[in-house]
Amino acid sequence: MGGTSESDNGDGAEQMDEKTGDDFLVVGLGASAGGIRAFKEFFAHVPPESGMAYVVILHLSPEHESHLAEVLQVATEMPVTQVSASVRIEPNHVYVIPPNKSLAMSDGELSLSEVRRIEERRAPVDIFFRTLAESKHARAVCVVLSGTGADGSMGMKRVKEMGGVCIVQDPEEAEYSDMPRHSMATGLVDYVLPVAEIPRKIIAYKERVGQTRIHVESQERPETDEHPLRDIFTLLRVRTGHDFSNYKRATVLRRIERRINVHELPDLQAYASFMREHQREAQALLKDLLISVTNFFRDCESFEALERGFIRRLFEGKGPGDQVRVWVAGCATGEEAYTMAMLLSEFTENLTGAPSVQVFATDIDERAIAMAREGFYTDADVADVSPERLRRFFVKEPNGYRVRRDLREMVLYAHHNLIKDPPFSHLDLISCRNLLIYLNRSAQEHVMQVFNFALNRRGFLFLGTAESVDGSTDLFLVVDKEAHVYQSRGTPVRLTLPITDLPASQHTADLRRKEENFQETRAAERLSYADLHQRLIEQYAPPSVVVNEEYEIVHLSERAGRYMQVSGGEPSHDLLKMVRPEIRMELRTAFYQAVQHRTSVEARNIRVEFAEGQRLVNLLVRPVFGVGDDARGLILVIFEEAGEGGEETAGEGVAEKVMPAGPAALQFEDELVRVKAQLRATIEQYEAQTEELKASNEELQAMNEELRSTAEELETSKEELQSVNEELTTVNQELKIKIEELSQANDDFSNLMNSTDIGTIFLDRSLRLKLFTPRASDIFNLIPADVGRPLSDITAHLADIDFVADLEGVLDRLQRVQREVVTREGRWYLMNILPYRTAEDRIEGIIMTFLDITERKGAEGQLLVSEERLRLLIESVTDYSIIIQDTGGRIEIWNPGAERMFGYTPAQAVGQSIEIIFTPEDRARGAHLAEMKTAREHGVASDERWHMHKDGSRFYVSGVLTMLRDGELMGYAKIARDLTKSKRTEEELRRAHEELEQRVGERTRELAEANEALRVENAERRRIEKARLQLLRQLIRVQDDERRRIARDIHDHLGQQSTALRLQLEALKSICTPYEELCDQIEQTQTIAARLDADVDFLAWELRPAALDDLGLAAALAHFVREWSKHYNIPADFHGTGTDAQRPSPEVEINLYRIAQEALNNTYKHARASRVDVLLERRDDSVVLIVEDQGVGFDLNDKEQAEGGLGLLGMSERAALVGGALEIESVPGQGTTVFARVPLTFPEVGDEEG
Amino acid sequence: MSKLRILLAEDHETVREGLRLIVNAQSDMEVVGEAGDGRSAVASAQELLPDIVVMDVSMPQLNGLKATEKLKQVCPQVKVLTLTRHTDYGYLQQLLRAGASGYVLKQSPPTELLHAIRAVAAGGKYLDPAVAGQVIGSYSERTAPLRVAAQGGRELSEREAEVLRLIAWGYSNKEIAARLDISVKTVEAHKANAMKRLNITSRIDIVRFALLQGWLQDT
Repeated sequence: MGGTSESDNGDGAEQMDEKTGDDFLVVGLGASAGGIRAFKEFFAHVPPESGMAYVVILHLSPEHESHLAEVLQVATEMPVTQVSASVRIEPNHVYVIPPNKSLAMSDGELSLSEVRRIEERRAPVDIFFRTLAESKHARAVCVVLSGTGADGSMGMKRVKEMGGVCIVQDPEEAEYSDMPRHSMATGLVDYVLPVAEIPRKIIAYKERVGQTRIHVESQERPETDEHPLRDIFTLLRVRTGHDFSNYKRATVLRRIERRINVHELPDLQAYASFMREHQREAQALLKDLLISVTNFFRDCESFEALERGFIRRLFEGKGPGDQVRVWVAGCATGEEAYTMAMLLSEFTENLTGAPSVQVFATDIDERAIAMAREGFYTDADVADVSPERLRRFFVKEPNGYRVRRDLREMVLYAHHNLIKDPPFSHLDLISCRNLLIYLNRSAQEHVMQVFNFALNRRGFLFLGTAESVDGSTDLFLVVDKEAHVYQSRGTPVRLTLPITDLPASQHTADLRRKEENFQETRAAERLSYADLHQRLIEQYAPPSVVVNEEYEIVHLSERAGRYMQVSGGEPSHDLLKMVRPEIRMELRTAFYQAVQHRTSVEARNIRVEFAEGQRLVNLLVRPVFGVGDDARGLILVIFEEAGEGGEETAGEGVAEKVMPAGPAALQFEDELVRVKAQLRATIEQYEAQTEELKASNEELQAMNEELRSTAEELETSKEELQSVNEELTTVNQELKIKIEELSQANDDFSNLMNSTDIGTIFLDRSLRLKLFTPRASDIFNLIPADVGRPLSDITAHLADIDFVADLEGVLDRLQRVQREVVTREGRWYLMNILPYRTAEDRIEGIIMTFLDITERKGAEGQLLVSEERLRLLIESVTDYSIIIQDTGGRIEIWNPGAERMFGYTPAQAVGQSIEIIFTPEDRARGAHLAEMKTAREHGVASDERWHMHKDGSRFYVSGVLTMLRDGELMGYAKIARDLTKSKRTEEELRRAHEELEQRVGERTRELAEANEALRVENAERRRIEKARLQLLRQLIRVQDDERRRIARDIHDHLGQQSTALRLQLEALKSICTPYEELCDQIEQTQTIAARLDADVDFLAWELRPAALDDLGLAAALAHFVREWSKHYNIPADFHGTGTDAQRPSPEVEINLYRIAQEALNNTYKHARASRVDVLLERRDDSVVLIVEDQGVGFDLNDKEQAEGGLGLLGMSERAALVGGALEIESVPGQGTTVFARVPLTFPEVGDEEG
Repeated sequence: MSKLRILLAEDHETVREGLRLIVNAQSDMEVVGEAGDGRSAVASAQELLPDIVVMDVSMPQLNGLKATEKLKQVCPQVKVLTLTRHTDYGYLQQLLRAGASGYVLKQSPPTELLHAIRAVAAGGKYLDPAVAGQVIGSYSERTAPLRVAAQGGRELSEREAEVLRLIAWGYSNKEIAARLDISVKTVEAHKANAMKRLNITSRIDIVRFALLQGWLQDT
């Protein structure tokens, strides 16, 4: 057995590795969301020659190709490959999982398999970690990085179990901390580190692994290891209360070795001191030692065998009142217990009158028990449970599954130490899997005895795959070697209950001392008998026997056998039975006297027939009563031969004397013979009684035994009770929650009651009021104090209704009554009376509800009226035929219109198929059916077709078939109109239309031709107009240039000359001062010259103001307006904006100037204006000149006035010359406004042609 | 008392001669130099540093306006008196801005020039009475009532304000009607109401009002 278990817990790792040579580490990296970043970071810190292989498992979308390999290749120099087929794993390589596959590892190879189940898709990391653990043992390293969900935590357990290392990314750092946290929750994680530090840790581990070796056999272990190892066990016991000295050394040492590697310590010594300094290390080691890896249906073949062969046998001979009791010892986190419960539950389901099932599940690890009680498992945990079982026994919750209540209640969990705690009893099955492998042989044997005691006769024992009952075959027989199922032989065994565990290190010392004491006492005992005997022998040389109080022989001297005689029957230690019969009576008497009188008794001269002849024997019985004497309670019997028979030996002391035979003595002798006979009879009687007594004594002993067993059972029951108690506490807590929920529900209910608009009344069986909603008082005069009064006592507002009869009727027939009732105020209610059924389906009273339907009632009335109207409408329609059909096309309603159209009277048509109005061809084609189909599919079918009159004539009808539905199809309505007449009209219309169209076409052609001619003509005209305008423009330009030239001439020459003239005259005048006459002449000439000067000036200005060229249009206009105003004495004002910043082209300026001049001239001539405003505004690339007078105005429609008289045409032309337009607004009596809008610049003449 | 030193800048020789005669005829002034164009006028003035340059506006090479600007840059202490035939307020404005101290029209009696020379020499400014009226007129544009009107602007309805704004922008009633999708009559009514409300009477008032309101800036 030892050998098989080895491979199960990591000892095989080294062997395997050495065998295959694959002794490098394989690092499995698992991640989900946020993983890529973590991977990159990880590989950035891995040196290229790390001597390890890396396998990257990421949750990938099954629909998309993965580029993870390319992405990671950027971060590392090692080759990164996406695994596409089975590949031999090599160090310094990175392997990446492909999408939609699961990756497994075996014999140094990575292999792919299709993902079959959804659970597998969710847990690729778990799947890989498990195979990695089984393949690499201590050389497996698993790393869980960022991600959501719990993937990785299950696989991590297996890695840990096999001796590998588990590392988790610090959840604080991880982008998604779910996966790291779930892994940490297993309590098995060795390191929690930021990603960047993980590779260093792995390399450190790699360097340590395999270096620390603790030899299992103590003789191979160096001395230095012995002491620290003891220390470790002691610390473990002190700090955790668990003693592992009973556990298998190899396993324990392997675990300790692992811890040493994890902490990077040099040796056992260092670990012992590390443990002393770190309180928590003992817990960590304990966790490692107790590592409990279970799955649901672990080793499913065994479970299948169990299910097939043995479950049924557990139930054999058990009735409904009985119980099937199963104990799952070492249940860990409960998976196995629930598995067992599932199997049992599935079996009892098909059984009528099934016995109840009780599963006890115990474990030494309280934390595990707590998790088992919780009954919550992650998706990964339940991956081994079939979908059917998952549905039946589990409830889906976020992040996992919870065991259903009924299954949970089958199992009782308790904290229990198999080795020291009393067991459960009367069990039908014990399942104890993968626990014995951790125990050493003596502990195993003890456990087997415990199991034997606990099991019923013929009860079953179910062990793990690596376990057997070797060494306890006297207790169990093999029934299924494959499945490891054994059966109790029913051998009764005294159960030696183990010594209570002392939680202190002195315990072993105690134990040792006890052991030694025991040894000593036993030795002492042996010694004291011998001593005593020796001493007695020294005093009395004759043969002797030492007996106890029961006269059983304790010790014989060498020659004492001479006085013994072995008779038939059961051999006995009883001296009285063993001794020669001649001595027996004397001896008995002597014993009696000796014990009675507490003194030595001597019997002399007993005649004994020896083989060599008759001898006289003296008998000395000497009891020991001395207090403190070791031999106290023992009796020494000495045999002393007095001589030949008949020989007298004179005795001394207290001994009785046996008289020699004589004549008188003969009579005595006869009497003696008689007395002897009597005595013998008495003695026989006495012996019989003694036998009886012995029997009853034995019985009592048996009873005592039984009592003891019962006491043990009681102890067990107490355990059970404790479990039940715990359960009760849990249930109590749940009840508390339930009560809270209930009071919440109660609150909800009363709020509902108060808020509902439905008047509700609850009555008990005697129709007394129990409860009512506020709205119920609309119908009854109810006040809260009415509760408890009969409803019949309370005034109802209902008119003419015997609701009491209804109520009684409901109670009698248990059928609801529904009716509409009206109150005296005229409100309508829908009254519902129904029996009040309790959950047990008893009728506890009545519920009345009143729903206000006044509005609905009104609506119903209106509905009736409109229905009637509709009917009248249908009846009155004669131009249209309205036919209502049922779903099969049978006519139901036939209105007068239909009668008129088709010739059938309603009596003839109703009940007929709609076929009758179709032409025989349509009928043959099934047109009416097709029409109904279309209506069904689209709601409506419209068509125009020929129909047939009753008399066979045909006519053209336009019809619409509408589907009637009220939730479901009710029938069809056909509305049809005779189109025969309109069809003809339409035909004529169409013809006329065509003719018209033809004519229109001809006319259009003519028009198009004319249009073309016009277009040509128009173009010609435009060309001429353009040419004319150009000519005009040139003309005006020439004119303007000429004017400018003349004006400049006048100004520069004529003006200067006249100035010079006036200056000369002035000078002349100052010379001629003495000649008064001459002076007057000069002054006159001066006046004339001045006027001339002014005239010249005005002339030049009028021709072309110099300011226009020098200062711009605005300045020129401002001056002009001022001069004009002064000249004609009409108030005028100018305002200019925007032309200073950008001056218009000279041609534009002069033209606008001329337009302003012209406009002002017109104003003077025609407007009789009270005031004139001239505005010049530049906006973007155009400039507008506005001349507005407040004069008489004129009618714009008066063409003559507008064009001829006003010279407007000239202005328009000027505007057009520079590409602008002129607009005039005028209303008689309200003045005139002239707008001249021109572009800021205008291309030079001839530019357009270019 | 020394005589005022005068430089005559006049392209027309006869006129220049007449001027010299008149100036030299005065006891308190004398012509110290003469120039026939703007450029030589500036050069002579720089050289002679006269008290006053009598400057014609229309001259070859460099006209009077430019010459005045230049001269005031190089010799700010030399005073310039403009003598011209231009009565336009625009010329006056530009010359005063260029730094001329006086503006005399050739059309005015020659005595005006002598008054002007004396006034300018005394440190004052002299404007020909024929143009002085224009200056005063330009300052007395009727802005006062408009300021009141501007404050009344907020009493205008939104539509009235809109119409006034478009009028100020130079649109005709017809165009405004098209823009606002209302009839011309309505535009006229709005305009009339708005003007009445603002107590203004003319289109120019509207433009000035719009300027005060800041309506014309956002185009």
